[in-house]
Amino acid sequence: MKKVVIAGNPNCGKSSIFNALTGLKQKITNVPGTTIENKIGHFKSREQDIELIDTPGTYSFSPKSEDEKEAVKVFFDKMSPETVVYVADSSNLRRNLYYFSQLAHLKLPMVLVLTMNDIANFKGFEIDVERLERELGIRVVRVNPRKGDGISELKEIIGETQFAPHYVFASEDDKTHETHYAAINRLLNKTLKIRSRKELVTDKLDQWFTHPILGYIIFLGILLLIFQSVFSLAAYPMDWIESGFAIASEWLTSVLPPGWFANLVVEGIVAGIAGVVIFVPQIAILFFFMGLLEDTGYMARVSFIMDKLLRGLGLSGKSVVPLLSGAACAIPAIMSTRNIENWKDRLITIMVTPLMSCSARLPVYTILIAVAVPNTLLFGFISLQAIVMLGMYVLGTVAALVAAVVFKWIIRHDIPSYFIMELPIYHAPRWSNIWMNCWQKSLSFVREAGKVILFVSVVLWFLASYGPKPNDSFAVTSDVSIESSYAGYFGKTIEPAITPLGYDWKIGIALITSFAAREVFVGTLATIYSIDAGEDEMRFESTLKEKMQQDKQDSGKPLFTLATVLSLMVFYAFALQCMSTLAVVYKETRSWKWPSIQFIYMTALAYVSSLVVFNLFG
Amino acid sequence: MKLTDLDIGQIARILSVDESPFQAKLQEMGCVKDVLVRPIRKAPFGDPVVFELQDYTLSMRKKEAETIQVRLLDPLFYS
Repeated sequence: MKKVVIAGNPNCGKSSIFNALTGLKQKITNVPGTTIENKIGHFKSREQDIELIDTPGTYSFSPKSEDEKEAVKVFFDKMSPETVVYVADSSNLRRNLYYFSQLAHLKLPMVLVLTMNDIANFKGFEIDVERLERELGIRVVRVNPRKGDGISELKEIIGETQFAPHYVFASEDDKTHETHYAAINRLLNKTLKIRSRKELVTDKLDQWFTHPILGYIIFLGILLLIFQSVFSLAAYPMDWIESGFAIASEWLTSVLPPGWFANLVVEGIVAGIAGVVIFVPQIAILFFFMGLLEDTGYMARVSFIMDKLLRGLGLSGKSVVPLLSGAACAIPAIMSTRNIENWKDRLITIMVTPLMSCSARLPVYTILIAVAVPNTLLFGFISLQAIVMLGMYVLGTVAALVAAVVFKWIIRHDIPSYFIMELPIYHAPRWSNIWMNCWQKSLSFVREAGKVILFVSVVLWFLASYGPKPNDSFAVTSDVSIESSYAGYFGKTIEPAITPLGYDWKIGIALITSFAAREVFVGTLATIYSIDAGEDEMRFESTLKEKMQQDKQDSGKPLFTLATVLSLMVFYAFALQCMSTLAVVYKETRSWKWPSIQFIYMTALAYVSSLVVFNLFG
Repeated sequence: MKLTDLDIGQIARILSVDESPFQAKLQEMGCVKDVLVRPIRKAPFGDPVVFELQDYTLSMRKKEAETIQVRLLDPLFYS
């Protein structure tokens, strides 16, 4: 097997070429951003198996951020790559050849791939490919992955024996940036002609997108449009998934012999998987739009116009992508902080991103709002329930920004942050990349969250179905009501701590179980109020809602008053009830210190805020 | 003069980049001696600023741009 690496600057089309060469035969790594981890794919060239590695875009061989470190790592592997496919944006060849000139020192066989030839052409650039091949001493191929031009030629070339560039960019004792750029200029003087210069569409668009007032209005408009479509478009596939799982559990109930095993499968495992899969449409749609905004180049403009505002809060323009992704799911959002160079900026972004309202909070908000907020219209046309829902998103965002300011004062770090960022040319979306991205992110969400939720729902099922025998606390019996089950005991144990927030032992159980994953809340309450979750969604939600509304405290007052419900919603908005988030923060910060601090501060914030809210409305 | 002293649209030649934690980053991105640079747009609130250099556009904060020493070209030379 021949090991081949794709390298190059960000935004030059590496992933498009990777996708075009490997098709769907890719090993899916955890979460690709615009690529933030090395990806591996396979294909055949001249009867040879090729292992192709796609690396995150990098500007130089001395990495500044985590994703760049990953990109450079492949060159230090035990088995160094046999060929480097260097992808360069031909409309910006000078800067794109800088990293190339550094890699040339490794004396590895290289192929130079030129992309964005139509833009280069429009800009009036004429590249003499034959001359470039002669000067460099390596193969140079023009490729347009969108149309497939040059892909089969590139495939053939990769299978052939290639050579290391013989052009001398710098000598051993003179490797300054100036020397490299001077050598690149000498090379381009011979191979690049500039016919004319035209104003690009990009410049015209930027007058709007980075306008001092319109820029923000357009951004806000795009955000509202995205959230509107997330809610309206996702409703249909979510319905199908819901009824699909209902049919599956009905069928399983009918074929499995009744008993503990059937209960475990249907109420534990299937219900657990359903709880994860149901979020996929919302997450996929959100990631689709995020991918679209990043791929077209618009996201860089958002970072640009938000930098000054976010800097005052201890964040950076580059925090925009993680914060927005946090509205889908904190896990990929936290991973996407890898391109933030400054450690403090990155850490603060990681610490506050889980405060953004992720999609796992949605079902919790939905049921709670349905229980306690009247479905009335404000001014005759604005739904009060929708206002409360929107308010929860605003609350999460404000909390994240305030928390960032606090961390800015607490975290000590002397290296000043910087914001040196390319504003790429706008281009039409590369749909295959966007779909691939969306698919991979959704899949890794299902895998990561799935593991946790599956485990939790099985454990929960056991704890709620079994309890200690009366008079013999070491024996186990399944013949218990939820109140005397193990889960009931846990709930009763923590009841004194949560009574000030307006919760009883049943809510206590739901709180405990959802410390692993928030979305377990609804399922837990459903189990506690023992409702047949196999029924269709309308019935399910309305019966759970009715039972919650009818539930009384010991004093005879309803349990789910407005005060209790608001207090619960605030608790879910702020508390870090997600084991996967803690795991990913540990992975990204490489210490238990930060996930611990994060867990404690968010839980404390949740407790205190809920206490305040309950007493304000109680 | 510094890069921040330029008005939008003026073209200057880079003389040097001061030592700083981001000096290498600036140089890698193409801010090296003799390169022509032109501020083309400011973000709302005047910071960061977008510059055109090496056939592409690079944005940086004023704080970073201040470390780049430039010499203004005679407008007659490029207009």
